[in-house]
Amino acid sequence: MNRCRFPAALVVLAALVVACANGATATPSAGLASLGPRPSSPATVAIVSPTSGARVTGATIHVVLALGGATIVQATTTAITPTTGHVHLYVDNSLVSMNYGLEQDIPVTPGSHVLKAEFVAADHAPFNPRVVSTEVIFTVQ
Amino acid sequence: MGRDRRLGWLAVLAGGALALAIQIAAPVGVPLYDGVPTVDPYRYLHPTGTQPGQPTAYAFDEPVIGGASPAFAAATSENPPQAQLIAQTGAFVLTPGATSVHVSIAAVEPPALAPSSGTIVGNVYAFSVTDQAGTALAVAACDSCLSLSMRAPEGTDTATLMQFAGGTWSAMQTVPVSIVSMYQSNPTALGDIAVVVAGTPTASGTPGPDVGGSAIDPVVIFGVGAIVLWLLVFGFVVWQRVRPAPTPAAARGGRKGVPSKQQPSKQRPPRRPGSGSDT
Repeated sequence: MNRCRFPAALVVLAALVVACANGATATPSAGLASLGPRPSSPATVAIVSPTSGARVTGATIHVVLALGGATIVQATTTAITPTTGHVHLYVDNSLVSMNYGLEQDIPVTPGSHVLKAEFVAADHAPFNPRVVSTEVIFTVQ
Repeated sequence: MGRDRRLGWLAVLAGGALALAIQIAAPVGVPLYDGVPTVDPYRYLHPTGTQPGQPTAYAFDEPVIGGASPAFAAATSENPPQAQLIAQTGAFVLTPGATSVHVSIAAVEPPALAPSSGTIVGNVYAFSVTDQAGTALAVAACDSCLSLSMRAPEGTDTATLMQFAGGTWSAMQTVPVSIVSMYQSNPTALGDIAVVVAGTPTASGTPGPDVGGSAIDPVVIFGVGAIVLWLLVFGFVVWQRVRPAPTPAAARGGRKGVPSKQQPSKQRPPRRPGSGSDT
């Protein structure tokens, strides 16, 4: 029995190294596929501010959202329901914020940007079909 | 605690220390939102080895409304997009009679002439906005009404967007954005654009980021060092386990009549048959 301990510890060591090395290369498809079938949600999400075509100044933009048919919960859990979750904000198609409220300041750079919001389940994964807002194009001067 | 147990804990601690050292030397990318990964690997037009290929392209027609070029957000389909162009209303000068604009983004063959100031990382993308007849539209003189952003392969740090036009590469004013290797510019003209890092191609001839003049990635050097260290520890522990135990003095024996100078063993002597209380 004792002879097995050291090889087992080496396996743990190898697993640690491999896990550390592979951490940066995981793909979203692998992550989402493991979640299984996704529920639908009656929720709707919309961007109240900024409005499309807005021109703003400054290093941040104040985002105001409207959420219908669902409530925001702060818990991260795999016990998801169709009417609870939170909002992911995307600027230029990159996830920039995990929003547990309906207002948030987002850092932006000068230029034109596209803002999108998605209501996701409490496990951070999307519903099926996805609950996504209309895209808003705004300009930071 | 027995020797095997100590060795086991030593190995576990060594593994933890090794993982910590690797994380410090070459940190894994910022974990996003409870581990939900959101970054696709970079797709190359000409992949080598295990690199993903087939970068996506974008093409769409937007109708002209109100006599001004429409607002649009054009992006390739990777997550996040490898190339995107975001235009506010009126970002382009329409040609007379223009009824729609055609927006396209696609990875293209890099020009034969490489940038003199650095190395292209990732793909060269052709950005194009034309009217319905295919006539290129000029970018309007407006303040920040057009943004172009490109993603570089993982690990790219300081980089610049460069545009190839008229047979030369010219640098664009570039702002790094997002936590991934994304770079943004507010262009005054479109065309073939690439992410360029300072430095020269690697020894293999493939473009790579500047690694301080060394052709070998420091992560590889560190990894090899870690493996060597691991093997040394493994060899030491194996040697500790397989080396013969000290031979008892009685087994070694001595010359007849010469008393052994060996100190008496502290080990309990074997029981004599019939002695003790277990009979």
